[in-house]
Amino acid sequence: MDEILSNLANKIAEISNKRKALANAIDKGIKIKHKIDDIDLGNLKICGIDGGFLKKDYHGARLILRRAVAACFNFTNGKLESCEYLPNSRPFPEAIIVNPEYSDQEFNVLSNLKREEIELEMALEAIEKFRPDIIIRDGSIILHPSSAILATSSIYKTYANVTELFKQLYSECERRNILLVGAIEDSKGQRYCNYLNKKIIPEVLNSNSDQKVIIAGNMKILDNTTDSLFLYYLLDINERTESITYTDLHLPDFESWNNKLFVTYIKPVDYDRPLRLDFISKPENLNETTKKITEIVCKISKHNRNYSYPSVLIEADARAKLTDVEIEHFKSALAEKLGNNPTLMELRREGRPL
Amino acid sequence: MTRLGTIIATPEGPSVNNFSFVISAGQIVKRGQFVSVDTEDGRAIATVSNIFKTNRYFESAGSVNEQNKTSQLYSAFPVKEWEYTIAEAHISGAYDAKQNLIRPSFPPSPGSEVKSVESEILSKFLGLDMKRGINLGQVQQHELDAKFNMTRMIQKHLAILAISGSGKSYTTTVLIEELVNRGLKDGRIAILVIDNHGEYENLKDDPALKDKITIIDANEVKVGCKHMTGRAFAALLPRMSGVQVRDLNRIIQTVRKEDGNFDLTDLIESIKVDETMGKKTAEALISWLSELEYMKVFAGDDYPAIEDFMQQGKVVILNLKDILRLDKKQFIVDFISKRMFELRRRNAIPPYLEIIEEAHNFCPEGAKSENALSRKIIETLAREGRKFYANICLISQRPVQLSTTALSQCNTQIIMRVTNPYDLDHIKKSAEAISSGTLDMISSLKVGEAIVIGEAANHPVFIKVRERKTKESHGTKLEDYAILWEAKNENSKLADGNEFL
Repeated sequence: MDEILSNLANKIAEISNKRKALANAIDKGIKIKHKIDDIDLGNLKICGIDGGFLKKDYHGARLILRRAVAACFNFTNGKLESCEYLPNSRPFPEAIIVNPEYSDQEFNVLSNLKREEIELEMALEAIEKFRPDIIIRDGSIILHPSSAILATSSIYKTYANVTELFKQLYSECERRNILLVGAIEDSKGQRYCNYLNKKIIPEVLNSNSDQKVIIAGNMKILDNTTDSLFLYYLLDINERTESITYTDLHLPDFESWNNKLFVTYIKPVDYDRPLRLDFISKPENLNETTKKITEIVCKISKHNRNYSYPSVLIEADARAKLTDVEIEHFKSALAEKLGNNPTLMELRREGRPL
Repeated sequence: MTRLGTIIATPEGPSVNNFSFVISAGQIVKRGQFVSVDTEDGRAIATVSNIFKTNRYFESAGSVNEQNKTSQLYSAFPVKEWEYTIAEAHISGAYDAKQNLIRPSFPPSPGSEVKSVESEILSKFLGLDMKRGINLGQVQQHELDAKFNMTRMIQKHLAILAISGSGKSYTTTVLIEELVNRGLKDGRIAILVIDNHGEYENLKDDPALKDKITIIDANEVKVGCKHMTGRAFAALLPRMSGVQVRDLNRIIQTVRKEDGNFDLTDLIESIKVDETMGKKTAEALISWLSELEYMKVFAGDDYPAIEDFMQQGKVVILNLKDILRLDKKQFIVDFISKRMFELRRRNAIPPYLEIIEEAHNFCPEGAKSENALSRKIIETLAREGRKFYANICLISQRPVQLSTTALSQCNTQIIMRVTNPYDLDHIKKSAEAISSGTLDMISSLKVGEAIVIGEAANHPVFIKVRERKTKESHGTKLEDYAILWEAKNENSKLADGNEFL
């Protein structure tokens, strides 16, 4: 056992050392990271959007429980003065019964769309009600390509609604000059590593850099590395990467927005991994927008040397989060009204009495 | 009824005994307060036993510590929005549909509303006597007079327990005021106060009470020898053997005069010259009787004739403050208590309450008989007095040193602040109704606050003792007394110097 563990540890250490060596070499070879200035939040209004979501299969129905909360922090002279909530500080969740005939894959896509839908609606309402300077959403502000479906699908209507909501959100933020950011808590994205591989590393290799040998020897490691894992070695506290575009994504229903979607990584605290931020910006304003967004998000994400996440999202998450107990309560209340009905029976595999 | 909060589900409840509830914003709920909640059994009444606050932002010690290093939580998060006050309550009973008080057999539901309790319901629930009750003050956290039925509070005896300075004597004075001011139709009793330190003598100065108070200086109490027999002496001298009692009886017969009286000196002299008595017996008897003679409590007749003073609605204060010897104090208390009980059994005096201050001195636990001369009669009163309307009220700051036999017979206990863990343990053992939560509250009571437990109230109830109507005699403060003392000594030195010159 000890030998197995030792071997495993050695492998991980070896890969980590390669990542670290490559990061150091790139850092010495080319300037790709920037300092984030410490700012005063002044009188900013920062709004966080998060949702709570649960789904469960029963014998004759699939149950979805969802809610979304907007938590708007009003700062005065850099201090948090008040917090407002939408629809309120503890909204009752909404229940959706889904046709059991959907395949598992359709149900998963539908679930994701339903989650997006309620959070996007909430973000649009929050814009109207709070008129914030910046909206930060928990998760990406870009619809995941895996959610794209054919017009013939039975859940296309929901998909079309969600894409419309995304576009509405982009437009409203752009029109009202509101910064729109998605903070991805545990990103598995590799976009930045791909960008390094395709754009940055060839540049360094073609230059006279003395790091060329090290880079060439370790660059393969980027194929199997997530952005945040690699950037852990590249970024220091209060630093960010350059912003890169999503133009290669070619989201079919977002043509007019594809060149306005960007991603950057920031490192607000010493011992946590870098945090991925997605955002929209007019290409001509990219530097200015990146600077503003990273400064604000970095400022409100320093709560612990080991943990960085925007405070508005921590608060919104605490308000919106749903627990398994809540779906059980809901199901029990429904079952009480229904009486003995097989529709809400637990799946056999989940209800074994023995 | 005001809505005070909502019951929450916790790992422990709600159960038939306990529940927790989140206090509604703007509502004030305090420890010891009575609250109500609807259950399937009816309306349950519960006592708030604990209150605490919680806040998710401060749950992790590590996070709070980190926050201290980096930034201030208050300026980064809406922490106040997450502060909840949670109260824990203990269910004492429930009223069913027919308004019968029952023991709940079904818990309230999570989400149920917790409401305040109306005064009429609470009065009924606690078994208070709003018409003729003894008004000790106010039920804490409620606009309700704490009026206890006299029979329930006194007839099965009463104990007032607390540390020094927490208001025992004050409460006793309130009790005395209530008892002496009862109307003829309310039922009045006579009161005897065994006043160890002269704390009650100022009641005589109060215009409203002066005609109802008689103070007896314990130094003037005399025991008539004509009542004494060898057995009576043996009760005072527990080490006396049967042979010694027989010999003493024989000598008493020789010295007793025609009127039945005799003198203790004559008795001792007769023993000295008696030739039939063994030398050791004679020496022991002479030694013991000399001790008794030294107390100077024996005389030809009893004084005072207690039956003359014990009257309904009146108070006799036996002032022991000038007696230093504890055995003499015990002897006098023993004599008076026995005499009173005997008279009551013969229906010669009215029903009475004997209030014994510093009761642990007169009825100590674990002391040898010769060091606890009055214990036996107090324990007898505790056991048998109820049947003869001879009632006792034991007051003590050291319950652990008070006879368990006597204390356990005090069916009502007024407990004020007690902090000594041994005393608290002793109190818990002597009163079944005290839960560990209540015990915690006893140690944090303020001056003038008390919990009444036992026969007088259906459920333990916290009260704030009312202001006494009589004038309070505040002792001189330590600083002032020290200044006076020093000034007095300086003057006396000066006087001595002048004389010398």
